[in-house]
Amino acid sequence: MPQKPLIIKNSYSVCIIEDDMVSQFASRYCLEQFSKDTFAINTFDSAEEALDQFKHWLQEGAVLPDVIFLDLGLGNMDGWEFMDKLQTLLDKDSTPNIFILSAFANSKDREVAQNHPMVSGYFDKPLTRNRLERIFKQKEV
Amino acid sequence: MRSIIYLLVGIFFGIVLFKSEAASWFRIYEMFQFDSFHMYGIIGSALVLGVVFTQLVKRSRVKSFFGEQIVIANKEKSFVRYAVGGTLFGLGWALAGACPGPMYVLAGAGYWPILVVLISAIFGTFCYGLLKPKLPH
Repeated sequence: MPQKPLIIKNSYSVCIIEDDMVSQFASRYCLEQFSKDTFAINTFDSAEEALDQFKHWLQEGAVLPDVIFLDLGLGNMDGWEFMDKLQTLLDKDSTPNIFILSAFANSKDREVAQNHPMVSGYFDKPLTRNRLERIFKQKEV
Repeated sequence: MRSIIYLLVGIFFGIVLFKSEAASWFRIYEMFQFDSFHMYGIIGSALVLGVVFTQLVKRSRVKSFFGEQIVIANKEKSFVRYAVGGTLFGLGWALAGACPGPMYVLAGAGYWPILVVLISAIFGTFCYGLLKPKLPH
């Protein structure tokens, strides 16, 4: 799937939705190593928690994160359901860039993700520097 | 000549370990969580091929690259050494996120913190050598 690189700006708000503590740490660490000051990172252990926070932000008139790294195999509500619920909250043109970070070698999910209108990209865990470079076209980091 | 061949085989093995992501701590973490087949596939296929080739070499009595007889010494039958050693090895593997082969691969790939693990492993082997007569096998 051709992924649109985002031109890097001074600050990005990034959200990691991941129930596995080690994977969450790996993603956060990779972002912080990639660029110290560029990212404001919020992490959520579940899709429900993220949705609640998003609703709260929207009520307050705040903007949603620019980029979401989403795990598919979450607890009660999985990544797919999260995207469905998120869509009902949003206008069409304000969808954040959602990147799926899924378990290695899960080819079925990859196919579905490629055809999903809300998904900007699909990566195998863990997040790496190369993948971030593909997402954020580097200007001045 | 002989050293050069060893070096080339080692380099090839290192590239395979890196490219197959067997040197990735995350793949090892997934393996220990039973989340992914990836590492089991690598280790399993290496094991099956190892069994086949060892048997082939033993039965066909082929000569080595240098024209010498290949002698594969039989392992001593023992439970304690494999149970204790395997458990300790597994703990270290999970803790460091790397087993002995990938330690060198990671050092070569520029992940410098692995040098702490590498030096500690060499020190551990040295300690084992000192304590060997006193340990159960």
